[in-house]
Amino acid sequence: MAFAVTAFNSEQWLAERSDDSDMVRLRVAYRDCVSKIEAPAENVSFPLETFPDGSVKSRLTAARAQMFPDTGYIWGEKIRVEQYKNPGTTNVWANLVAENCIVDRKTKSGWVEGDATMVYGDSSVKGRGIYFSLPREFIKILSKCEIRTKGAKMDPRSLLK
Amino acid sequence: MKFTTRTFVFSVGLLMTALLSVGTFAAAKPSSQSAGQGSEISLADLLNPDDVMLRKPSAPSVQQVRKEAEEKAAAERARREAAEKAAAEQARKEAAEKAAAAEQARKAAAEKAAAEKARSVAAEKASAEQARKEAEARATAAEQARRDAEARAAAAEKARIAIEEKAAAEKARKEAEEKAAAEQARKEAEARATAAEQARKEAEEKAAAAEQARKKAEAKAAAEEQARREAEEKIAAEKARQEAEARAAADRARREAEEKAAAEKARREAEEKAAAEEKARREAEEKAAAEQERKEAEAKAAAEKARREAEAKTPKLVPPPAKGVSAGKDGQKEKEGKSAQKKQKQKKQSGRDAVITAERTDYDRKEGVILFDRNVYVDDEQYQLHADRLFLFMDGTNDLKRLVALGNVAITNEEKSASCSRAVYVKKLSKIVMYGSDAAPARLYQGGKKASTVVGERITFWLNSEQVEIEKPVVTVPGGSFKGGDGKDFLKNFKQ
Repeated sequence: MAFAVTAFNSEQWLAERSDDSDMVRLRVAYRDCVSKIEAPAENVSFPLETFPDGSVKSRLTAARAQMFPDTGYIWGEKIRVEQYKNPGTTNVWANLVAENCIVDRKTKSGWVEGDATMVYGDSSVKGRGIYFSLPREFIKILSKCEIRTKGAKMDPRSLLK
Repeated sequence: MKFTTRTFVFSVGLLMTALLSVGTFAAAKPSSQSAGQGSEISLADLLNPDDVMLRKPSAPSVQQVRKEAEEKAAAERARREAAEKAAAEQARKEAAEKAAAAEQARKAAAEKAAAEKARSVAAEKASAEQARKEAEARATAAEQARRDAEARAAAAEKARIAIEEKAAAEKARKEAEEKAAAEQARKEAEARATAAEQARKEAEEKAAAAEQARKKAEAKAAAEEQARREAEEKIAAEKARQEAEARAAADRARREAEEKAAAEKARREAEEKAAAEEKARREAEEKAAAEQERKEAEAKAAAEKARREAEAKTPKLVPPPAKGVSAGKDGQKEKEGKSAQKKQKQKKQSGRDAVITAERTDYDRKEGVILFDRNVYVDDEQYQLHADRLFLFMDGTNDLKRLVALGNVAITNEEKSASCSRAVYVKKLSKIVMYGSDAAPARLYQGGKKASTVVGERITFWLNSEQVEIEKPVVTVPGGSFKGGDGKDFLKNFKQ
């Protein structure tokens, strides 16, 4: 029975996945924020994460960005997030590029409008229209999803070898 | 006390002077009482009785005594009169002083009254002045108040105007805000409507796709449901089964390894034997060839000799080629060609990325699940997979744990293909299970010259042991595939 408790419940998972209310809210908020953009900051850059020794682990840069204090939304354009492999080096191992993005600081979730690409190691993920939630550790790519990897082989002795 | 004559004379002189003074005073201001008796005041009356004592005692006569008494009385009267006069004088003086004081008081009162009057006048004047000033001040204040009132009125008017303007501005602002809010609400409503429309379209598309899939898989649904139930029921038993399978797999692997080792040993021995035989055969062939060459050379020499001898008589002869040698070389070349092709093929297969595309993807890192939804296509160098949905289950280190393809699953590789309604790959067990249904059974197909088809309700591949388990199989093979009637060769098509 313990196995049944810990087993993956596909129906529940699919039911949770079909709840797009937060994504719809962010899409509406994105249009609202875009209509309110007045004096965005340019060439914004700040660290997102740090290694234990204090050196930068990941850094976000945006060509333009504006914060909306009343709602807690942050809008950014031409965003790039670089994650460094080792402390104290600039050896990038993961690179995320997005056209437009809005992040809700309260819910720590966001919406990427337009194309986005993430490259890490030998693999890459592309998509258009991406919703993400950091607390739920959840990413949803709505269209034109493409994943490239060297590790997709099921087995050397695969079914039709 | 003793008196000298000189002292006595001096005293008498003084007394005389005093008497003369008194007599002068009395003559100057005679009183009614003493008017007739002024000349009767004797010196003795004016003398101090004590001084009388200084007189030379003599025997007074009655006359004298009477006279002295009269003088004494007169003196007493004079004294009294003088005293009265003095008192009167004193009273007069006092009266005069009083009068003077009264006069002075009167004057002072008059002055005071005058001063009071003057003060009163001054006070009245001051009061009047004060009143005037107050009146002026009041007038000024009234004027000021009037001005203030006017200013207040003006300010109030101004304030009223400002309030009205502010109210108008506020009203305009509120209207603008309401308008903006309405605009915002309209935009949000539009956005929501757009999103809802988009969601509706997506839902419609989804519904249409689902409907289509449902229609397509209507016949498959029952079997899928049954298979899903079976799978869910088997999940609980899967663990024990996995252990048993793992043990069986380990045993099989061990046996296979032993068998392989034995086979390898036998193969090596056979190869060695074949090599020795080949070597002996080659040596024999070489010897035979050398012998043959020698014989041929001898025959050639003999033939040359005969030819030369009969050259003029007979036409030229050409010896046939050595068939065995040339055939062996061709076979070797053929083998080398196949090996090179195989190596080239293997080389061609290295390094290409696998590409997974889908219309929609959900990545749940917490659950370790990736869902590729709608028109899923996996393009790998070894195979291509189509499905309606593809679930990837990852373990804690992001390695693939399990793969489930759902709906219209098709896997192809060159001339080989497989199709089913659901396929499950479990990496730990190195097992692939294809589930089918009555309407759409699991199917394996190989094209080409050896075209054949296997159809079953469920087809399980054990990749480690290279075994295939088919439930309710239906096999279609080209004629002559069952050499000897045991059907063993047929499955090789799918194992190779």
